[in-house]
Amino acid sequence: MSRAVMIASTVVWLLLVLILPFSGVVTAAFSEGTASMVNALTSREATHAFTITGIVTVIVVLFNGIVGTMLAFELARGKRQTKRLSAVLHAIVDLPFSVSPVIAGLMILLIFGPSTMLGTFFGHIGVKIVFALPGMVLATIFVTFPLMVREIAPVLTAIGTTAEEAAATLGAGPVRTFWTVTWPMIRWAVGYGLVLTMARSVGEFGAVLVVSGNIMNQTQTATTLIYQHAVNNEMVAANSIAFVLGMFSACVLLVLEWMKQRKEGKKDAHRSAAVGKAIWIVSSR
Amino acid sequence: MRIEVRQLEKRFGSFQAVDNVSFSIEQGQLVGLLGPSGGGKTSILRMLAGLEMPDQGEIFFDGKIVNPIPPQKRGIGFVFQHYALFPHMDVFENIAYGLRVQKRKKAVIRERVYELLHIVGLEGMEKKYPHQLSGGQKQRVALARALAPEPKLLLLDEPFSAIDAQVRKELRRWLRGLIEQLGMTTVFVTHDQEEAIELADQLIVVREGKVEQQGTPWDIYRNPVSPFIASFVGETNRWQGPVKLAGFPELDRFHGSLFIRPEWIHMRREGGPGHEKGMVKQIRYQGGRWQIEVELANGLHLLTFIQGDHHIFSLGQQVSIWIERALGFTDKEVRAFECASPKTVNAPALSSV
Ligand SMILES: Nc1ncnc2c1ncn2[C@@H]1O[C@H](COP(=O)(O)OP(=O)(O)OP(=O)(O)O)[C@@H](O)[C@H]1O
Ligand SMILES: [Mg+2]
Repeated sequence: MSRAVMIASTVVWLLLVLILPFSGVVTAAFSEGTASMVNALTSREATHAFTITGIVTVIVVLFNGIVGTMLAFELARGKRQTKRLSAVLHAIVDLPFSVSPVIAGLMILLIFGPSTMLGTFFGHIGVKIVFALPGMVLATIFVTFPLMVREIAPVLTAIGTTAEEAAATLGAGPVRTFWTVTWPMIRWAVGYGLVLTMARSVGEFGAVLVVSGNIMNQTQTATTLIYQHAVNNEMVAANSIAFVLGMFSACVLLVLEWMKQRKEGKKDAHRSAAVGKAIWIVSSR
Repeated sequence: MRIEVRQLEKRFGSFQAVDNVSFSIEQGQLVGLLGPSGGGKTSILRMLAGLEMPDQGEIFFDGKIVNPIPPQKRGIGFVFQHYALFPHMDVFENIAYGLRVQKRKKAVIRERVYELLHIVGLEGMEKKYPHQLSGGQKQRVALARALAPEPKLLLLDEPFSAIDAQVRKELRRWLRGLIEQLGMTTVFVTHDQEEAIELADQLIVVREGKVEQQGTPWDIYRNPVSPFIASFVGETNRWQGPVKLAGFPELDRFHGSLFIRPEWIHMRREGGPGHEKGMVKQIRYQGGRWQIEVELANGLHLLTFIQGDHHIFSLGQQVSIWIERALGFTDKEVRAFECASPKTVNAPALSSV
């Protein structure tokens, strides 16, 4: 009985927060026919916004992929750090989860804004950070940073080091051990982290809006363009882009689902946590 | 391979895990590192393997110092306590790993892996993954994997700890035969004294980071150097001296701990010279033998065993006890006391293990 109630309320919840809004988006996007939707999507500002989103996402995924993985190794395997230091490190890694993206954007403005010391310095050497791509990349990195670390570090801790030690006693050097033993055990976690990072980067709005200044055809991203269209009451255009992003999210969910099945370390807790995270990311859009 | 360890030390933070440990192991010996939990057995084994760096001291393999040599180059095989199989590789690939590292020819690898599968009795399992195996099977795969590159020294960390008692006994016997057949120097860690005695040619008893005693199981069992060893290895009765005991006049004046093994105690129905009177306080059947607790006339309690299936003694029965040997420990010395009155020949001896 209570089980039925739970399932029913879950379905209602999904209907209210996910399915109804998205079907609203779809209806609105197609409300003036396919042609005007295609127009909205192929307009100069739309293609530019998609390009900017793409560039930021690629840079952020590459950066977090490498730095995040390395930090995960340091957190899970680092030997020298004392307990207290590692607690501080963990807190720092999780900071973006608890700080609002808008505040993250504001922090970057405060540090690199044109009238600040650092801003002036970078201005002198000809690098624009705020209201430009570097600032947007910084903001997105900040927002997405925990995703890689939080995917990989627990897996590293769970697998321990004995398999690697076994490889060493069998004569394998560190490089061989990494590629034949460590990597196969963490690769799905890394892939998972990358996909989550990508999804979050594409969907990031608040931090990027603050930092980019939302300048059309310059720093506008797909999400900030939706915002602008909505403000200007251009609902077809807004919903068309939202529809594309929504479809992208659905694809990401499918990829995550597929990866989940490919993950060899079958840890149910880990799995459902990841799915929860995926839903959070998709719905936070 | 001949192994020598000199004044080995290992600290974790301020904790001294291994403290001035020295021992040597001859080529082809099967050596047990025995001791209570947390005594430093694993740490010693890991230093032999090169997985842990000693803070001080030297390790020699065949007379050559190996301290700076990494585990990859030590020519060892290591079986981990929980096997540490590669979960993403099937049994074949697990066993083949060390051979692939050595870049052997494909055909050679195949042949060697199938030979090992035969040796460890896992034919037909080569396509299975570790999570599809039982504990005993995993243990055999781990062993085959360690043996594949033909190590000169085999190191086993509590190889049977995750296996149930029955399989454990079988595997033990099987491993003993296998190692004898291969003639490899082997060191295994255990905190099970029965296992250690049954398997090892030589025992090294480790306690709180120090070597307490080294010798053959017989030596250590019969001539323990400390009260700790006397009570840790084998069953024993422990008394505090001085005591009055027939046949042992010196014990009147002995101030120290006394240990009497159950098999040094002989129980009869009728007494004679050098016998103590006693009463059966408790009888417990242990499968093939009886454990009997006797209270002596002087109030002391003794545990002993009687082989066999027949009810010979009953609760409350008056019996005679003849003790052949006792070990005494004081702070300064260890003394073995032998019974002054010889065993009477005509009295029916009903026990001796
Ligand atoms: N990496 C480590 N860091 C800190 N302390 C350690 C480490 N490894 C071992 N120790 C400590 O060193 C002591 C000896 O450990 P070791 O694992 O060698 O004992 P052991 O004899 O193998 O015990 P057991 O029978 O329980 O396996 C223990 O007190 C343990 O807490
Ligand atoms: Mg241990």
